[in-house]
Amino acid sequence: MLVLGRKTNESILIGENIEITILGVEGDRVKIGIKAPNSVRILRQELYESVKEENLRATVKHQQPNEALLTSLQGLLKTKDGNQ
Amino acid sequence: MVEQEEAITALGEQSDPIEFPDGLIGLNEWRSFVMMSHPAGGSLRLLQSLEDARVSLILMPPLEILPDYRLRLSDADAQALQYTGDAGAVLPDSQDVSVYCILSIQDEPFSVTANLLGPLVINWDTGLGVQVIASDSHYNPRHPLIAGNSPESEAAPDAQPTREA
Repeated sequence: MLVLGRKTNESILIGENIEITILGVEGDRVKIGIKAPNSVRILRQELYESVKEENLRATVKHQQPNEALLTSLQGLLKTKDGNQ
Repeated sequence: MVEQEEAITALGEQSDPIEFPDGLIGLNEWRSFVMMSHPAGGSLRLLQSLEDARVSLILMPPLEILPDYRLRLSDADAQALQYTGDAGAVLPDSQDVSVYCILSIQDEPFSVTANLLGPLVINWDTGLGVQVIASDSHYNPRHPLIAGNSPESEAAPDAQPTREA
């Protein structure tokens, strides 16, 4: 990992189109400004990690749905219908 | 309602192939899927990998879980979908795309949760799909739909805290 020291209001360029500016530091919080093209996705890493974890949990690797599961899911649908 | 979506309401029918150019987050080895109705019926869908017959995901429209569910499509996601509608469109009001969230079913204890934070958006016109992260929301990646079925499980110390706003 590249490590750079920056002061408040100093910036870093990544490529030609992405500019990251340190806007301020308060205790252990750093406020960062990012300028990037609209086509670049910018995400807090923990959101990415939580979605990744859910995808791995949710992937069904056995194809035969069992009867109890079907009944539960049908119950879920009935509950939803009842709410409408 | 989109034509493709109507077509798969009938059991046994399936959609045209859907390409996720980047795969799903953390699951990028699988990119081609078809959508089909789920044996449990209703609005449940199966997203079946075309590359591995053992891999599928269970989907449900988020509006059936939270009637006021909203999702803002970023420019990056709109580009990935080749979506030509309004940039920054707030979905799922849109007519052109479908939004689904992934259900996670766990055995012990039995529970069903919905990932409202990372829904799938599918553009039926282009056959492209993308998994979006609703980063400006407080939606829960593990929104509970069915809780554990044993009394012990409800008090399980490792129960996940919810992040719902």
